[in-house]
Amino acid sequence: MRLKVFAGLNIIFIIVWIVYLFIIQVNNHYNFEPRLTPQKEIIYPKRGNIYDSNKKLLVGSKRFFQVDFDTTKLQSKIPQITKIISKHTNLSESYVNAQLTNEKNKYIYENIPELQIIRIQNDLKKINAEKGLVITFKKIERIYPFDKLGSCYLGGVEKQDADSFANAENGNKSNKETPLYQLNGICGLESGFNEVLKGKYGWQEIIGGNRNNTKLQFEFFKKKEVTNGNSLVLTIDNNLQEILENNLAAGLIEHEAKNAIGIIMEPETGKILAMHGISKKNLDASAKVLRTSANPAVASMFEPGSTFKPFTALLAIENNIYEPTDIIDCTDYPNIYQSGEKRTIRDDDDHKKPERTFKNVIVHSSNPGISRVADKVGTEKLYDLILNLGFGHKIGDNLNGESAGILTELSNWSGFALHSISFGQAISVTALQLANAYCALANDGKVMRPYIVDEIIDEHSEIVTKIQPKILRNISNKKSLNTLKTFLKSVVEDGTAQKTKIKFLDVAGKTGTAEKADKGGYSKDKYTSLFAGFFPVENPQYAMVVVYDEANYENKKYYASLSAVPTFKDIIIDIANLPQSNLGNSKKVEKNTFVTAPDLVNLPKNDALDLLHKLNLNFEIVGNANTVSEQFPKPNISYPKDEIIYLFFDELPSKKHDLTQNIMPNLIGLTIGRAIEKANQHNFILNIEGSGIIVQQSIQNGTKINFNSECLVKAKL
Amino acid sequence: MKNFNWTIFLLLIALLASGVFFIFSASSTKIGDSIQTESFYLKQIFWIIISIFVLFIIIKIPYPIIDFMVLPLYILTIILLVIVLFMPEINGSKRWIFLGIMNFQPSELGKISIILLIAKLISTPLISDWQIIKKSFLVLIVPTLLILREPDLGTTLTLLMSVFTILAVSDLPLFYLILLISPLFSIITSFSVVAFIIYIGTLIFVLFRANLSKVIIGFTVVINSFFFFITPVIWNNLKVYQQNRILSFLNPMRNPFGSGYQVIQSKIAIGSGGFAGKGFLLGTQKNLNFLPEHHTDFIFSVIGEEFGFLGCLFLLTLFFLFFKTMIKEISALKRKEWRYTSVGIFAYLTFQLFINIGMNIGVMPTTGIPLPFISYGGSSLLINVIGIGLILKFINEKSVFN
Repeated sequence: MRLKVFAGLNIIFIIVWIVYLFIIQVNNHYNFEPRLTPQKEIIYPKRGNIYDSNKKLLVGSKRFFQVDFDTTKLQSKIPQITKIISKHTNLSESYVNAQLTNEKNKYIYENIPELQIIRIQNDLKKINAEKGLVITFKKIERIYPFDKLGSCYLGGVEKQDADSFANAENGNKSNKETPLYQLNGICGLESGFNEVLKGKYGWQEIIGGNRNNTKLQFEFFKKKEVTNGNSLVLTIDNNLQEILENNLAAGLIEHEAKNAIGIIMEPETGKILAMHGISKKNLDASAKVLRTSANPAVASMFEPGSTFKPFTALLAIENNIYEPTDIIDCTDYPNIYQSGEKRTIRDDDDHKKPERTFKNVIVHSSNPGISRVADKVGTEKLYDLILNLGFGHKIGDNLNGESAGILTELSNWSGFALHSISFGQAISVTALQLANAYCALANDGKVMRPYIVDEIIDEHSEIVTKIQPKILRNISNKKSLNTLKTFLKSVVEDGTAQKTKIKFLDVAGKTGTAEKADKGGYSKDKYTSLFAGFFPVENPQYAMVVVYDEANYENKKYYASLSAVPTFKDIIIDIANLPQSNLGNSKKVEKNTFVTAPDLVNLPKNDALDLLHKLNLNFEIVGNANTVSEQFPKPNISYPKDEIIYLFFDELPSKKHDLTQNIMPNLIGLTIGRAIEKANQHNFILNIEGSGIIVQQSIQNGTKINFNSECLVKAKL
Repeated sequence: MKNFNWTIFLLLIALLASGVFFIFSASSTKIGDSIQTESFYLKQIFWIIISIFVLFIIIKIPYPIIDFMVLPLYILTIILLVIVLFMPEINGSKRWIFLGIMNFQPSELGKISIILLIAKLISTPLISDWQIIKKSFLVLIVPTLLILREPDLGTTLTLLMSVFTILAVSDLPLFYLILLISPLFSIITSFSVVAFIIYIGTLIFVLFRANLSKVIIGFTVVINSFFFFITPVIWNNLKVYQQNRILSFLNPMRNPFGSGYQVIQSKIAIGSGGFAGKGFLLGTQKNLNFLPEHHTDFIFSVIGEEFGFLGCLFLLTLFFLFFKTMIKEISALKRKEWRYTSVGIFAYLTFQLFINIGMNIGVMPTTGIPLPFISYGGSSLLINVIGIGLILKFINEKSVFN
């Protein structure tokens, strides 16, 4: 009887369980759908690197992960696992072992760099224990192999929580407790190219939260590949950057200046090869502070002083207002302007001279002289040129923190402003603008857009975007610019910047010593000392600007010729001493392609012009008859394509046509055949003594020559 | 072997075979197209072969030899239960003796040896009621304390439950049984005075109706009141975490990420299986390792998840037929010690089945009790099959000795 009760109880139990199973499995089973909704695990992109033009790594990044280890089913391998983890990290074996055997948590260590993780993973695979390794992204750090070098343009990054990702990508609300980790550039290139560098988050669906806290994944789970950030290849040449930084730092201390700025550019393309700016108070600042400071080379504004004089001069040349040899009154220039202001423009006493040639106004930098030139040039032309050269507005290609400078509207230009601007007052420029303007002078009037990022490459070094040099505008003409070049070259050879003279290299440039504007006028003891120039003159590879702000007044260091100019020279010598440098190599490979001059003599004007247009040659017309009477270069002479053919109508060329174009070329080192070619091109008569290579020429190169001048050359085998 | 009950044997084989099948599924992880199976099912097959071999040996051994071995076996159990306390801990308890290739749980052996000894002692002719209780208590107390020390609450409960069942089917008067379990109800009702008064009133009424002496009724009331008063005192003297541990044990859902984790995940697995299940090897809860110990204590949740209600119904039907056939044969046994032994074994098998399924479906506390014949585990399987072997032997030999 009791046994039957017991058996009955058992049957009841079985039935109860079956009913209960029926309820939860059949009746109600949707309530028990497992919480298998996969969660999105964010995959963090690697921020792109920054390389210099030689693909040297300037900025890289490193990801750090938290490592946990789940020893379930791997208990017997703990000693091996301990050894592997300890071998590839800085963690001691005893620490790792203690963490692995700790029952309460699986935590090993918080910040283990990516590379070490990969090594650990590989070794764990060998002993079949990789299942236990759980890694969680912790942070990204930027690394700087060259430390402070380039810090002013590279810029810094800051960890910011990007919580908008989840909203943007999924329409979900992001989890506020674990905001996404993101490094954002806060200045410099890091900020300007933040979108390029930062990459895109990826995600993968995972199932987490099981007992072992491991992450599980099915192949059919959705996934979005992470897009690592693209990298930047800069136009910066790290060698030049280093030279610039070292020289500026040395100069800053030597000349006891408050700030120093330097920039080196490539005239032909507008590439920024190096730029730097330091201030006295930042000399010992940490790299981090420097990276988060403004970039003085593009941000700091100053009055350019006499470095602005060449622009006025250029207009005078271009418009045939003055010949280089014309005499200009350089006595003090008293003015009473429309506004009623009175001002006498004068030169410093130590280089006062009652009159100078037009050329020497530039070479010896006369303020009254250039003001008188400016009067003839006129406000509109000067304003247009300044504007076309890029002053008064931002010119750079995504250069973060660039200033526009200050250029007064034309309507506000009184005669006062015209005079002031002609010698670089009443206008504020950046070093970048000034360097770019000098690039244009060196580059036959092509105003290029300055840029610092040459290529954008992806993580496999495939080029994503290649930035092409861009011509913003053309100014002036080649002939006038060549004349100006001779002026600027003389500045170095005979003028205010003789300290830059280098035996093996022609340098053209202009000094500037600008009084700094102070309360209600110009300061007497605070100056900006600058030098802007380019080299080699024949085939300019570099344009450079060096600026010292408030160099020591007592030591006369405020004179550009005693501060900016020596630094400029030191930098050139350092560049020339670079192993890969081709500066100072006198035999340059001529870059120009040569064309043969067509025979145009006796052709009707229209036919001649049509032919020239067809051949796409540059030309200039002299005279106004209908038939070509003479041409230069002569028919069938080969000459560099970018030079100009002169067509003479109705009158033969004579001395009264001053073709500044016609400058005696350097014949030394040429073969006789090449010398005859040059003579034909430049239309002078060549008398040859001896044979072989020419060693001497009677008219020195660079001298202006007239048609049919005779030049005696000696050649030796 | 002319009375050998082939029905029970074949049902046993069917249970063991489905066990192997379920272990195969439970120890496989299918992620994508790759299937990874751990070799538990092969080990289980090995243990099944050994167990069946032992089963036939037991049937062949003459009963006097077994009878002679009851006391030595009990002493051996005690010795092994002492030894096990010096073994290294696994998951917080010391249950296993390591013997190189095989690991052995002495508490499993304890189930058989204790049941055999108690059955033998209380089937002595003319034994008094008090003697039955006293002897049962004395046999139980040492091994129970030792097993609790491991600690292994599940086995302790199973043991107490099966001994109580033996006493219940013995000739012991009913009021002794009530007396034995009444303190349990006092403890349960001690949290509410009203419930206790209702309970104690009912108890007194039942005992009066049973025409028991006032002394015994008084004694029962005193015992019950003692438990009623002492329980809150003990409870309030427990530390908060100890109270929480007890509450979480009784209600796993209190602590969903701790002790309740397994129960919740298991219930989700079974519930999500639905009517026909997710299919062989396709249980996601299992594959994703949300279910712990899915080839041992929680194998039923894998069955529920992959084979659904139909699978559970099939398995429970198999168990139902197995137990039904067995209880029919057991009730035909006349020899007391055989009958008691069989009931004891039968009780612990059914008890394990109910508790195990109960904890898998989330209505009973997790106590580490496996699903008999199905869960992976060598010593538990061997002892269970030995138990069935003994029952089959009694059935086989009943015509001779009856």
